[in-house]
Amino acid sequence: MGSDKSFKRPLVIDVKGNSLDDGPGTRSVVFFKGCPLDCYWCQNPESKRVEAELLFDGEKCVGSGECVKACPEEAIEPGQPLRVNRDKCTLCFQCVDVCPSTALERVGREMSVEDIVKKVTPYKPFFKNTGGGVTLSGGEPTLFMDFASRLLKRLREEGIHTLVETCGLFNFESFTEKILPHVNLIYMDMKIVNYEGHKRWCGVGNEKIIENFLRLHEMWRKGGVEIKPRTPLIPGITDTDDSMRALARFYKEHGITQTALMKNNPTWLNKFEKIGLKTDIAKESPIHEFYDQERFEYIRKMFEDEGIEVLES
Amino acid sequence: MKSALTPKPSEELYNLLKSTADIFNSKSELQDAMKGSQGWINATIGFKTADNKMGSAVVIKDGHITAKDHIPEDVDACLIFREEKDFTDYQKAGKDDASLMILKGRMWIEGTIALYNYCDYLVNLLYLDEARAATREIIRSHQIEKLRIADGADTSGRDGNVRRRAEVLRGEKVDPGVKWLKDPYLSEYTLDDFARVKGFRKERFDTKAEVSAEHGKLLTDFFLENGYEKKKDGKPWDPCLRKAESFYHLMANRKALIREGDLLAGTYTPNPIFGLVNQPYTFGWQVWGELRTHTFRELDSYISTEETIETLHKHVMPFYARRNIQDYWKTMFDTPLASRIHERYFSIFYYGTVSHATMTPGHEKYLQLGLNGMRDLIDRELARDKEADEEKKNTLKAMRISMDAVSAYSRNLAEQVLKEAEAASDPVRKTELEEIHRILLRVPDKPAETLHEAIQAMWIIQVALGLESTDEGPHLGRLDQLLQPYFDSDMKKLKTEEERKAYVTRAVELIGCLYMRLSSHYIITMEIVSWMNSGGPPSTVIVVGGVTREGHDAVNDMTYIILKVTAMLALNDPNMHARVMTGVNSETYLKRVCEVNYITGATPCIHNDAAMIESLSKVNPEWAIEDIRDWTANGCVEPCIPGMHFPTTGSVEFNLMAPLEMALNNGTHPLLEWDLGPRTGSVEKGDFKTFEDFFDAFKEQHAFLCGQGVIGNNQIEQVHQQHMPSPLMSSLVDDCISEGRGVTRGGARYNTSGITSIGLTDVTDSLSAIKRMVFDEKKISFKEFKEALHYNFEGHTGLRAWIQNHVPKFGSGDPDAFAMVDRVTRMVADFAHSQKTIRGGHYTSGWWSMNYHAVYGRVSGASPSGRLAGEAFTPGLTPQPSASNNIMDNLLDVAKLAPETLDNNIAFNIRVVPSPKDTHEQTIARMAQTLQTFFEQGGMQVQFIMLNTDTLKDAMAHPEYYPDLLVRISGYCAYFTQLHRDLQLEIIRRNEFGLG
Repeated sequence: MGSDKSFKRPLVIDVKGNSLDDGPGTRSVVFFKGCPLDCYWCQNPESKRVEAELLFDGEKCVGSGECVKACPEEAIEPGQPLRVNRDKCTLCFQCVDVCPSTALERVGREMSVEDIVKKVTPYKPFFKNTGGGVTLSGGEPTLFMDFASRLLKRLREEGIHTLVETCGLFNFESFTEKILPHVNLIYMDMKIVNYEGHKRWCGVGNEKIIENFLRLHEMWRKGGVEIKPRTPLIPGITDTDDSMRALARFYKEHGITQTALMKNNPTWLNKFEKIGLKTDIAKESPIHEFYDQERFEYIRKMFEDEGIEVLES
Repeated sequence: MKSALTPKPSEELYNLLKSTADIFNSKSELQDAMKGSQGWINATIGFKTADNKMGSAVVIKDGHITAKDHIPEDVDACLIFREEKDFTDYQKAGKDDASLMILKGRMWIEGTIALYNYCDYLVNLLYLDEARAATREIIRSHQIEKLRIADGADTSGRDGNVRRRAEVLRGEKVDPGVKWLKDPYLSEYTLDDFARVKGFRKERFDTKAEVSAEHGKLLTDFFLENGYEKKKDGKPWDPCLRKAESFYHLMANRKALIREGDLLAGTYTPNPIFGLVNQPYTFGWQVWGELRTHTFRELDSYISTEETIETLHKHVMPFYARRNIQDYWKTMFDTPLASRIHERYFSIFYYGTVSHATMTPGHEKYLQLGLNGMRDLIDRELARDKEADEEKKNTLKAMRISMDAVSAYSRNLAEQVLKEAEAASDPVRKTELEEIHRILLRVPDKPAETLHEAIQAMWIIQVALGLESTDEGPHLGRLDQLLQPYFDSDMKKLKTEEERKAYVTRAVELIGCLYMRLSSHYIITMEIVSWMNSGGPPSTVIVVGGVTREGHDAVNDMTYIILKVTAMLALNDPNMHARVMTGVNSETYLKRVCEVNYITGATPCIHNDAAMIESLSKVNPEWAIEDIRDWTANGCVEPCIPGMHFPTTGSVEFNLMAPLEMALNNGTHPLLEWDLGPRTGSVEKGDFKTFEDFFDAFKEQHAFLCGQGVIGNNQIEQVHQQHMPSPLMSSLVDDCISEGRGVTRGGARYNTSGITSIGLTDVTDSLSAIKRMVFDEKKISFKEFKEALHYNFEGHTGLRAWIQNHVPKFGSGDPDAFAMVDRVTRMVADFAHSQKTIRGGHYTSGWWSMNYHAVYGRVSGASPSGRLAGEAFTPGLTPQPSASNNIMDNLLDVAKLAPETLDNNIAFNIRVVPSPKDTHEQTIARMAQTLQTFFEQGGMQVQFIMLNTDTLKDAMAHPEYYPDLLVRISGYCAYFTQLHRDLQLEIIRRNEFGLG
């Protein structure tokens, strides 16, 4: 306990009180900042980098001008809407402190394990009655294995059901030692089975991910913690016939009988602009559209034909 | 040059009146409009400015109108403008603007308002065509605005209702009180299986409400013949006997009808499908001016025949011009301050001016004893009590006469039904009518023995109670408890499975017929009240579930039959309420209540039995716990102990923002510029050194203003004693017979009067903002803050944004915000509980708003909470939509409130939208779990609207696709497309919570 310098505290993007999509029952979700992957389609691009970032939402701006006055680097250019010069910005966040409308927000704050626990314990009665609990997500919670471990342990002490959403790229021994004893359910992403494809679209190869997944799956089969694979369906990238067939075959080969397929949701796309990033996702790209239900049914059938149950989301 | 030709407002006014008078005097048909059945209708009406700089009058006398350039001493009523400019504005104003001018205090009426309305009626005769055209134009412009708001809204809601009603769960027979239904959810039935009721429903929606003059005419006839102030023989009336004898005349002589094809005989008015009872001593006189214009107004328009209009105008209205509750209040108490507050609409509505009947009588009395048995009871009491005083004798005699009135009406119904039976060509219908005839010969005089008899008796009594006092109030109460014995005994007599199944079908059908009977009326309202209460039906509350007097599970077969009919019909009235006692009532029941809410989108209102019982016990420790366990919802949501409690629950409908605004303005109400309240300190002069100083000022203004609420209501209740005693109602309330005093005279065992405070969240968030910004963080001076409010935050957008984003609100989980709400609710409740009614007992504290949250919001300036001037408050005590995106934060904060501060109940209105990924079963399960958790934490009540924003926007712009889209306002249900725009927007603004 106490402040040991080797204990790394992650920055927390948000503790979202009530989420419908991140596990069974009513759940609160803790979003960690930082991820070892760099997926092209990431819905939370502000969660990729470990460091704190500045988010500016022009629609919230009321033109008070306080930020322009407060910025020591003159990095905010007045106008309607005003513009943040990212090259000049040193991320001191003084503008955030004076912004009346929260148009300027700091993404990623330090929170202690107790801070987080205090935030979610009021919801315990709802967790209990709905079979819900707390989900660790982000970003990637396993980047901060010790912190995550302590948090999960505290939550379990409070009688709260815990779930970890992970990309699967972590040290297996560390995970087994620190996470497994305190988690009730694991969601792991299985984005692309093909190594080259995974490297191209996610920034790194997938051999460790696949290895981790199979080992955890085996442990589950022998009475360990349940692990559920999930695949985001990104049009033209992860949902191609080849990709899907490869995934189905992979599951069949290893005796995996259930998978979640998550339909692309385009509503996150303006986040790039808000954190000052550029994207080369073209305006005409199908990533801007809600997922085509007909295509989904076609893919579902592909899996069901291999004897794999599909959970739709 | 121009100034010489442009007349000054006072000249203009006089000229206007003169030219109007000339037109009238020159046309014989207009002259005829001034002639009533009792002679010429005379009135002197003044028009002036508040500073008296401008003043003219018209004298309407003996069929002739004379304009005067001054206001005579004997003026009957005055239309008063704040300034000359307001007169100019009024001339240019459209209908909407005129109502707004009244709400904003730019003009008001003093004196015998009914006679002003008479003048208004006459003037309207001249401009009917223009008014019609102007209204069409308003409707058109509103439609354009609505289309703009709805632009891009998803239209899939258009078939939403159909989809929802098609998916139903199956229930299990697990509740101990369910004896017969194997699937209590009755999932095998749909409305298509009930052709009769389905047809009634369609016809009701296709029919426009028709004004009826029957009630007023029969009463006027009686009093013209028998005298009102004094009897024919010159002696004074006993108030109860006056009421009873006139009631007898009404009931014995009104049209006795059975709706074609119905299983229940009796109607509210001669229009059996959809009528308006015009009761001239309560709501009725208010519409005199609009008798010809309310047929084409935008909201709540009616049908009215020429005969009805003439009867009301010439015969009824003149008689009741000075004989209505509101006028008596002013004459009996010399136009007290409270009455002036009432007539300015900005801060208190005294519901007693229109009704005291929001309560539940003891229905089991006539069901079990029959009226014959009750008459015997009265006779025995009179024989027993040798010391009975004159009032007791008269009171009991009046009760008897009132029961005779009901019996006379029932006999007439029986006669009518027999006639129709004899003439019926369809053998099925003939048999039905013969059975109904047999039933009418039994009930309500004799005890009911079957379900059909019980329902028929209740229906007749319901009509009678409404006609006796106000057709807006008497409730059916715990209908499942009342009817189960009859259902059970009927079922026991049947031998085969087939017979029993057929009987269940019949029982559902009978309840369906009852519902359609109950929905066959509206209250007649004047335009401005329509703004305040648009779409508001007369509320007839039915309550199911909860616990018995002994504390056991009360859910039974009838509970589920009633819920089934509720789901199938999805009506705005009867007003459905479900009591849930967690840990006693089953999960099966809870889920069914949720499912019905989901299917209808807006009903029932769901109550936490434990919280209400705790509240009533804490506030009234001397009440018997068995009585408390029997509580029913009334009016909107307010508790009443059936058969023994006179609660006048909506007496004081109080704008909580008004004392806050007055505290900011040293006792002056800023909108009306009225130096109304005590001097409690000036912001500008820096009188408030600490937040506590300001809170004290707020508290003092509240005590003053709410104190006027109490004073005024206590005065009005004395008027009721004279002019609206209710012998029939009293006969059904203990202990009126043994005490020999009617309900208005304190005969009931339990007596309370109700206050409801509107705008709680806006007020407490405002107090939080002041405390934090001015005193804790010293971000702004109080003076500057007040100035920002004065300018409606113009030029202060940063300040407003700061408050909205950095001052924690109630409903966010923040402990400081909650502490403020807790403090204010205790302050208000403590005040209420310390005040006495004239019948003994105390005032209660409620937090529901009907749609006053929209109206009072309209007349309130910008709030320190960041709310802009004129914006609606949140409904009831619902947190701001922006308080949290997490429904759990809302629920937990509301659940933390102390139940003893909520003893007149609350309205907590939230919009929830199920996840599109969830199946029907998952949605219901999630709702039930959320509700269960909320109740376990102590939450008193919740009202869900289960509609998404797009559907509401689409419905606003395209009402033709959503004629029966149901929403919960704040205690009552209404059809969304009939609502005033302000209210529609407020509902759309409500935070859309995902269910989870």
